[in-house]
Amino acid sequence: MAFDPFWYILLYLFPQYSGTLTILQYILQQQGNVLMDLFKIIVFPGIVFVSILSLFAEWYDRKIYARLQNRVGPFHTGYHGILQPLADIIKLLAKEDIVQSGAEARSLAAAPIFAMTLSLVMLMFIPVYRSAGIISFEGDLIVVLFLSTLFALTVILTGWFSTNRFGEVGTARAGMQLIAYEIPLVLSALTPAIIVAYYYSVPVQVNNYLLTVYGTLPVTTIPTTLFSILTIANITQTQATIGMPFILVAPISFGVFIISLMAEIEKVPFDVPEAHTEIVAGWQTEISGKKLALYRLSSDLEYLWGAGLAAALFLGGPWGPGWDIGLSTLDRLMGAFPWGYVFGTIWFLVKVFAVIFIIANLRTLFARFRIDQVVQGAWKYLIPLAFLNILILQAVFYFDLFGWQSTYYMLLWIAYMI
Amino acid sequence: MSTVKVPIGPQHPALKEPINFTIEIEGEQVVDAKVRIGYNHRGIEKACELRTYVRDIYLLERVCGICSHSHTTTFTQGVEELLDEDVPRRGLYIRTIVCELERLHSHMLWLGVAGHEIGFDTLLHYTWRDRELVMDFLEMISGNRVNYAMNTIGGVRRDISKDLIPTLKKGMDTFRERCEYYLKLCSEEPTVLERTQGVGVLPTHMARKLGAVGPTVRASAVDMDCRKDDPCAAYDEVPFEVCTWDSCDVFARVAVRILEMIQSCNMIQWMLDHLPKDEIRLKLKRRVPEGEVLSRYEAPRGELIHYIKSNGTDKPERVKVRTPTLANWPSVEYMLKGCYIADVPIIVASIDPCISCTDRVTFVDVEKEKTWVWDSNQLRRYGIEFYKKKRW
Amino acid sequence: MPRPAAMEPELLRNFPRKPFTVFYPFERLPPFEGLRGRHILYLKRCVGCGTCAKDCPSAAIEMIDWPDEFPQELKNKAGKVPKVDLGRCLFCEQCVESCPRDALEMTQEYELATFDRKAMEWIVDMETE
Repeated sequence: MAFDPFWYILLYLFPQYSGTLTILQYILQQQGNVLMDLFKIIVFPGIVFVSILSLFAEWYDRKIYARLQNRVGPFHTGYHGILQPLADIIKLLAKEDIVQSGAEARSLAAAPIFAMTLSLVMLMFIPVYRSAGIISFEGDLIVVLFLSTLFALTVILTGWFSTNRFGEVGTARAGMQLIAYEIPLVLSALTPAIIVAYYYSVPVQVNNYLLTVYGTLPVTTIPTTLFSILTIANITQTQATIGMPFILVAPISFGVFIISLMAEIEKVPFDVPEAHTEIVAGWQTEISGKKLALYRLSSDLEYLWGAGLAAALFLGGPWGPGWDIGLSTLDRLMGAFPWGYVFGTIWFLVKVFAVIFIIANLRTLFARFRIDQVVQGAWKYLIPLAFLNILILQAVFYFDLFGWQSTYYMLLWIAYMI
Repeated sequence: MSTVKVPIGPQHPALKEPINFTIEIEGEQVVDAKVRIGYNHRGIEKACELRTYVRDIYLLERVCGICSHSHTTTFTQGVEELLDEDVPRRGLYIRTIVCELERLHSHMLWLGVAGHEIGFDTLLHYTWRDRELVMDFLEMISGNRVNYAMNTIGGVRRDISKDLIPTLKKGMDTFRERCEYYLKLCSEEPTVLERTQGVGVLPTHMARKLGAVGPTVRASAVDMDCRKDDPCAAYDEVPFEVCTWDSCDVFARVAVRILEMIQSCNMIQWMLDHLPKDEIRLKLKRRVPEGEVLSRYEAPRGELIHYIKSNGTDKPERVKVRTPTLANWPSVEYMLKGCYIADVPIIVASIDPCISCTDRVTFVDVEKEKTWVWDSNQLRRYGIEFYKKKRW
Repeated sequence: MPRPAAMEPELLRNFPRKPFTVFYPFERLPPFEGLRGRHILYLKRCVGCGTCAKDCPSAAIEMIDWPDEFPQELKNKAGKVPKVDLGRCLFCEQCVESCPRDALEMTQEYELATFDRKAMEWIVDMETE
C-alpha cells in the first residue's frame, strides 16, 4: 500500500514526523490497513464527505432550478442559502415523529434507515479520486444497479407499511415506475461496459495470439472475464486510457441514462409516486419527523449517486484532460504530494455538478407525466433508443467507422474465423 | 377488482380552498365522483341585509379575492338600475377597463395554477411573474392590488390620469406578447399536450345540458358570453370577439383563457384610446326605491348573477349571489367520471373553482317541505356540541 | 406541432438575468401614487359628525370623546373624534369619501404590522395644520 494517497498527504503536511509515520504505516500495513479503510469509509470519500456533498448538491440543484425560473431560490441561511438543506434536515430531526394507528410502526421506522444505508453503500461504489471507488470488485456495476432497485423497494415498502390510501396509490405508482425505468437504466448503464468489451475482451476470447496484437494499445490493465468488463473501475480506467469520455461514443445512452435516472430519483416529469397535487405526498404521506429527515438525506444521496454514476460511466469519472501533465509537472515541483488524486477529485466534482445542472434544467422543462404515460414512454421510446445506441456501437466497431481498430486486426479475426 | 374510496379534500395540496371530492377508484381510474361543498360558508348574503348599500359594496368585494371587481360591478349596476339613473360614460369605461385588467390577472393566475396542477412549476413561476405587471397597473389605477374599491353606486371613484395612459398601453403590448408566447408554448410543449388534450372532455350537448358557464362552456364550442349577449357597462361599444374552442377538453379551456387575455389587451387599448371626456360618477341618494333587480356580468370565471330586492330603505332586503363556480359543479362531476386519478386536480382546476364564493348553507327537510337557515350563534353551538361528542 | 423542451430558449434567456424577486424587508419598491395606507386626521376641519363611522363597512371607526392629549383649543362642537381600529380597517377609503369636510385623508404608509393588538386601535394621527 505504498501508493496510498493519505500517507503522501500526511507526509507532506508533517514532514518532521516522517519517521514516526513510516513506522506507523508499516505497522498498519501489517494490520491490514484497517484504520486507513475506516478513514476512507467514514471521512473521505465516505460518509462525511458524501453527506456534505449531497447537501451541497441539493442546494446547487435548487439554486439552478430557481434561477432558471427567474427566482432566487434559497437565500437567507448562510451564504446565498447554502446551509438551507442542512437547516431543513435539522428542523425535521427536531420535529415530532407521528405514527398513525394502523401503520406497521416498527417496519415503518426501519424503512428509512434501510434506505439511508442503501444509498450510502451505493455511493461507496462511485469513483471519487481514482478510477475505483471505496468498494470495487469485479462486476460491481451490476451490484450497484441491483442496489438501486432495492432502494425503490424501500419506497414501496414505506408506502405499504403506512397503510394510507394516498400511500397505497403512491406505492402502486412507485412499483409501476420501477417497471418502466429499470430496464432502460440498466441497458444504458451497460453500454459503456459493451464499449470496454470491444476494447479488451473480444481478442481475449478469440485467441491468445490476438491479445498480443491488441496489446499494442496503451492498456494498463487487461480485463479477461465478463465480470471484469462490468466493473466501474475498468470503465473509468478505459476512458482515461483512450483519452475520451464515452458520452462522445454513446450520447443516446447518456440521454436515456439521465432520463431513467430522473425516474429513479423521482424528479419532476417522473415524480409520479409523490405527485403532491394529486396524491398529497404519495408514499411519503405518513412520514414525518426523523424518518422524513432520513428520507430527504437518502434521496439527496441517491441524487448524488446518480450524478456520480453518470459521471463515472459516461464522462470519465475522476479523469480529465491534463491530468497526466498536471501530475507530472506538479510531482516534480512538489515532490511526493499526490496531486493526481486532488485533480481527480476536482474533475469528479466538476462532472457531477455538470450532470446535476442538466437534471435541474430538465426538471424545469416538463410537466409531470401520468403513470401510464411513464410506462408507455419508457417501453416505446427509451428502451428502443437504448438498444439503438448499442446497435450503432456494434456497427461502428464492426465496420471500424472511427478507425480505432486496426484493419489488420479485422483481417486476422476473419482469418481466424476461416 | 374492488374499488377504493379516496377522499380528496377538504384539506389537500391541490385544493386551495376546502371542498371534498369522494372519488371511487379502480386502480388508477376514477369510477365515481361526488362533490361535497359547504366547508367554507361565510354568511355574506345575510350580512348584506344588515348593512347599507354603500357598506355592502365593500362587503361584496370580499366575496372573492380574485374577481372582487366583478362582484361590485354586478351589485352597483343592479342598484343603479333600481335607482333608474344613467351612469356617465367615462365612469363606465373606467369600470370596464378595471374589469378587463381583472380578467387578465385572473386568467394569468389560473394558467399558473393549471401548470402547477400538472407539475409544470416553471409555467407557474413565469405566469405569476408576468401577472405582476397587471397587478401593478391595478395598483396604479385604484390604489390597491387586490380589493380595488373602484366601484361605487353611480360610477367609479378614481379617474385614470392622462400620464398613466401611455404606460398602460405600452404595458398591454408587453402583456399581449407574453400571452401569445404562452399560447405557443402550451400548444407546443408535448408534456402539457399529453396532460391536457383529451382530458376532462365536456361535449357541447352536455355543457348545454349541465348549464356550464364562462370559459368552461366556451371551451365546449358554445358561443355564450354575457358581455356580448347582455352588454353591461361599456361592453356595447367596445369591439371584441367571443373566443371559443371546439376540442371540449382541458386544453380547450387553456386556449380559450389565453385567447380571452389577448382580446382583453386589445379591448383595454381601444378603451384607453376612446376614453370619453365627461364625469366619472354621479352623486346618488342613499335610499333606494322599492323593487327587485337581476344583474348579470361575465366575471373571469363565468356568468355572475346578483339578485337584489329593495324595500325603500337604505338597506337591501335580500341579496342573492350566484357565483359561476356553483353553475360549473355538475360539469365537474360529469368530467371526473372515467378519468385517471392523476387528472382529477387539473380537471377540477380547469373550471377555475372559487370555493368559498360558492358555499351557501340552507337546511332542507324533504318530508315536511321546509327550508330554514341558521344564524351564527346556532352554528357555533352546533359546532361545540359536535366536537364534544367526538371528544377531540 | 409538438416540440419537446419548447421552453428551453426562454429559460436560458432568463438564467443569467437578475431574479424577479424583491427582497422585501431589505429593499422596498416605492409605493404608487394613490396607495391607500394609514389614516391622517386634520383636527381643524373635523366637526365630529360621525359620518365616517356610519359609513365604515367593517365598523372600524368609533367616535370617542375628545382626548386630553389633543389640543383643547381645536375642540369641535360635538367634542368627538374618530378612532380607527386598523385591525378591522379594510383600507377602502370610504371614510375619506364620506367626510363632508375633507378632514380625513390616507397616507401612503402601509407597513402597519405590530406585535400588540392594542397598538392597532388608535386615535388617528392628528395634523393641526
